[in-house]
Amino acid sequence: MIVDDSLMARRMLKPILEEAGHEVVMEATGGKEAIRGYKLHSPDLVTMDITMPGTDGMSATKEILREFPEARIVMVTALRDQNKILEAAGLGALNYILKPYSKDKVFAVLKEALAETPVKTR
Amino acid sequence: MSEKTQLRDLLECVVERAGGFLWEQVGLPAEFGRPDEPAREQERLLMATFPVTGSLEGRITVRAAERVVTKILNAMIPEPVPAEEEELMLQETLRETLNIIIGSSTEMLRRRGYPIEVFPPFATAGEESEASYQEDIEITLHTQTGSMHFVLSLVNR
Repeated sequence: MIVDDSLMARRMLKPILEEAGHEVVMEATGGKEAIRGYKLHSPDLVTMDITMPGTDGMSATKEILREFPEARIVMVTALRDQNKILEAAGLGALNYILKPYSKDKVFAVLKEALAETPVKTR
Repeated sequence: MSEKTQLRDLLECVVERAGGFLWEQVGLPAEFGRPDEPAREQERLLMATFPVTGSLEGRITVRAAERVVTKILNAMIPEPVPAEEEELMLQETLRETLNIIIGSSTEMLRRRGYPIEVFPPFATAGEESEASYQEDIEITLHTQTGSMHFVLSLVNR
């Protein structure tokens, strides 16, 4: 599942995920939609934009992981802000992708995140 | 350093990153120029705004030539965009470009002593009321394809 308020950002990421062999089950444009989408689809992985209007990516990540600790969430952000990245890791996000990104970087992060053992079965 | 010099320094950080983005992601060399140089009024400009708070209260507005935004869009999304989505995608492209530029400027700005908070940019169709803002500094980035004008406006004090 892709979560990003920017249509362009979603259009950039979707073909990369598909090229990596994944099906994008949902594109959410905000945090609240992402929480609903996660409950509905239980995706293998979520790419979550940090900065979004309304419920941002940090709040949505916290909410999803509170209810679904096994969720695999990778943060996507343009912000070079170490504090935010550490905060996201503290919440349980598995990794992060900085915008602008290369296809290879996305492939590497996805591979690593999907190889992680979900919390539930650790 | 005077306040005006500080504001110019701040905006220059952002415009430098914009130049870096255009070169690294689009392959489009850009250079600083005067805002009153030719071509400014020659074609349609797209506009996006980014609220700024923290050590200063205001906003950064970017007015970019449509051809520049189209070039960025083509570089970021190689697949053709359906005609009915083109206008929206152009606005989104400028917005996302500004998001990336400001996001990657934040750390540099903090190092230089401008601890600002950033918020998601929004695309705007045209000029809004300038009643509560004062346009303080404008810097123009010229490319062979067209120009991008960056304006830092502070809330009237």
